[in-house]
Amino acid sequence: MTKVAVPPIKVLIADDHPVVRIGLRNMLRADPQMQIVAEAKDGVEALHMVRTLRPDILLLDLAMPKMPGMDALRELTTQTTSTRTIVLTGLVDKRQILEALQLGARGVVLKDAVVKHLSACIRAVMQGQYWLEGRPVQNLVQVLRDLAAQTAPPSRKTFGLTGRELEVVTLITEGSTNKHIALTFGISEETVKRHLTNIFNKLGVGSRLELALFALNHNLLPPAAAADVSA
Amino acid sequence: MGQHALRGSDAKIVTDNHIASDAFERLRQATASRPAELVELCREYLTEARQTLAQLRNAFTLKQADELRNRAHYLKGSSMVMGAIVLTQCCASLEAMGKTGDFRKAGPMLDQLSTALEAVEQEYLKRLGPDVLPASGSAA
Repeated sequence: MTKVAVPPIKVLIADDHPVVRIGLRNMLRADPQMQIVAEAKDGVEALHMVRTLRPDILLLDLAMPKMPGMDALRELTTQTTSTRTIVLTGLVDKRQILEALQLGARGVVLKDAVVKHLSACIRAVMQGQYWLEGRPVQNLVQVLRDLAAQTAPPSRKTFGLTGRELEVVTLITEGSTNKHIALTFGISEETVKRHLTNIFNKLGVGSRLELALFALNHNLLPPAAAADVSA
Repeated sequence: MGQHALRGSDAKIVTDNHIASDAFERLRQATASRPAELVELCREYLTEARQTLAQLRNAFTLKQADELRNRAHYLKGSSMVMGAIVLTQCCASLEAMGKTGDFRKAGPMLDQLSTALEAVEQEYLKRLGPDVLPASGSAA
């Protein structure tokens, strides 16, 4: 019976750091199943090499000159490529990991774990799995959900204000008059005054200016309004 | 077994183990048929670490927070791959200081980094022989 030769896994290394590239090269060269097709020292080179060399695996450092790894990853999502990307990173930043996975990365390996895990990670990714925190991931959806929950901004504290009162606060911070607020919500100015009295009582403030400052300092505004006010 | 302690960016780093044995052994195994390449890799690392230490000192003197953060991050990357534990920790601390622009503990941390680099050089010297040392200058 003839044995069918398994083609090697073609790997492209993209890291601006010569020592890291040499280290990765040495490690992978010892594995007969791996073939390093090229090395890139920035994101632009990496993208060019992915297009021309079509590696199976791109090992992508996130912090690189010219084009950071995350931008290169974003660019790759716009292209038709069979190359699977494994992100190499120097720190566990859950927000960054989430973003990388959302942009199509198939694995994330910390640099202090590459010596230990890189070959296993590449094999797992080639088999269609994802790789995170030193092991293959069985349920990517759950991982994404967990990461999203862990990286979500803290919810706004409302200090007992109702939804309408929060809307009034937003308009006050934008400098709206009672008349304008009444017109905006289709309510009477008397109702606006009643809302304001309730708001002042709940927050312990005594003027519109105090209210605006309180709202800014206590994250009481929706993100868009807060950005407008502080811009 | 080494003892490592790092609490926050200003903590004193305590350890008696400067190179992670498993990382070094895997690199040694990977280059078993080409041992000269391991020596070359370690020499490259030491050369770069010395240069980066000088750049970090310069950034500290000039109070350039971004440069301190960038250079520390850069050296942290190769130190992680090489398994240089204490150097990695020192770099992480300096990177954090660069991020906040707080230089108060940067001087002592640079001294720790320098000491750690000397220790790594001695470790390599013991394990790989004198060829591992960069041609010019003395440690750190």
